Amino acid sequence: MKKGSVVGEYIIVAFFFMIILVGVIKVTIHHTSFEGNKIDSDLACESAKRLFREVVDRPPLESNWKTSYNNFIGGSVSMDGLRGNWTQFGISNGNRYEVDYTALDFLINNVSMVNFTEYLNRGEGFLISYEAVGVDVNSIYSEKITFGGVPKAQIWMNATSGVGADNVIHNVLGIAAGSNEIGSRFETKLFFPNATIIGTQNSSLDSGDLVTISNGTDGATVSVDFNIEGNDEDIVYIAYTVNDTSVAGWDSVWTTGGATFFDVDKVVTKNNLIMIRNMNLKNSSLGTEYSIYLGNNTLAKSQFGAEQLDSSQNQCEFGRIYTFIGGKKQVNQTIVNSAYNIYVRPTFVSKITVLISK
Amino acid sequence: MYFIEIIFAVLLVSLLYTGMQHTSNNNFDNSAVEYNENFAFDILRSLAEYEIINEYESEDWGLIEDFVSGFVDDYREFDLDYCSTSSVCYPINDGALGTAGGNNITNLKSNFGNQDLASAQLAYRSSDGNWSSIRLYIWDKL
Repeated sequence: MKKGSVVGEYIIVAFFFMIILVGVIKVTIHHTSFEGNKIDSDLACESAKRLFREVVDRPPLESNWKTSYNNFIGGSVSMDGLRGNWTQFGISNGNRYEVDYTALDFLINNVSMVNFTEYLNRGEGFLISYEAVGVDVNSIYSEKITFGGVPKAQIWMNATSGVGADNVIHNVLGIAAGSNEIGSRFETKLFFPNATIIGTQNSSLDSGDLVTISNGTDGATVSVDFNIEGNDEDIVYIAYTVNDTSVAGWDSVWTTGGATFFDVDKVVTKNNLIMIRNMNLKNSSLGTEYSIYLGNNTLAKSQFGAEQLDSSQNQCEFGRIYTFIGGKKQVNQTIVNSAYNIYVRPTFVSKITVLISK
Repeated sequence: MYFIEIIFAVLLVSLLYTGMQHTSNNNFDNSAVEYNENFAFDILRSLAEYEIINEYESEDWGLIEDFVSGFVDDYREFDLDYCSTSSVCYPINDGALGTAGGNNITNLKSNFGNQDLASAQLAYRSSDGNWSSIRLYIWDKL
């Protein structure tokens, strides 16, 4: 064999092994990166569960926290003083599947995020968020809020009068949005399981406002799309029931009692739980979301923590559906021709999630 | 002539390939199933809390199914079954469960190939005074 041929073959073999070497290095880098991301994701999942357990599933450690909070609201305790007393924070009301809305409200508005770093791994950010998926309609009986300034939307139980037939056991739900500002849009879709919508009443709707009613075999659906045009207040009242049989004088039986109370109660109970499939109050041009209230003082959705900017990063979400229970308040409730004074606690079923990202 | 080098190279690549298999840790997939299992249990619990399932009247399966559909997102599907005290289970809705008695996790998985199937069960006292249970299966369409 000629000397040149031997050298050429060595060069070919050398190239061959160089190609293998480059391939191996490339695969190794890819493999290491993949495994690293997986570890980060696993750690993020652990943190999500830990934060959920320590914050959502645990009642506030300080037994006098509501007193402290009320003092803060009353002005006798400063924010720094209040925060200084909080080393850990839980928002459960003691029942494993319930959230104390007042504690959650405090968490969102007043507690410093630095208090939660002990539950996180280095470099992790967190976002605790909730959004109502169902609501106990009787618990959100209230007056309509006064709209003005910053856009707001509201879903509440209104006085049961003048929208549906008086002799049918039903609820009247109000859906409204308004503001002095131009450019926001309120969209929501509500589902009334096994129910029929028996009446609607609009107030101040313009040509750009849409209300779509659908009575189906599974239940009724209401889709609302309100455009807030400045000094605007769009309202629709929905009367619905799961049983449209006439029951004369049911309002009196329900408010004062009577032989047929439990029959009325069965229908009222099934009228109570409705589903919120979607809700959004947003100014798209500003990229701003605004508050949506259940009743007149309970936020239907909110969040606490760091904004998640890059969803492609290693994230893990842990969530449950819990019942949220607000503070007790006294209301004068009107049902057809009867009125009575009761205590209500805004109660809704909500997804609550902890999202961890790194 | 170059048999040894070629065999060596093939062996080297084979070993590296098998060594570079990604670790089989499906934590993320398990998290999705765990999420749905919690979700399924929370839905059943909510039905009992709001007395959609109660001990003073017979179950209205249509109503129960309507409520469950209200809770379940569009990107998920669900199936329900009901088990009496005799341990015989019946499908409630006309989803993927199929015929009575055939509705268990193994059969469901093999029936429609969703390995990420999650399930939860709620035991309750029915209107006839016996203990019964309702099971909810949820899986992601994606």
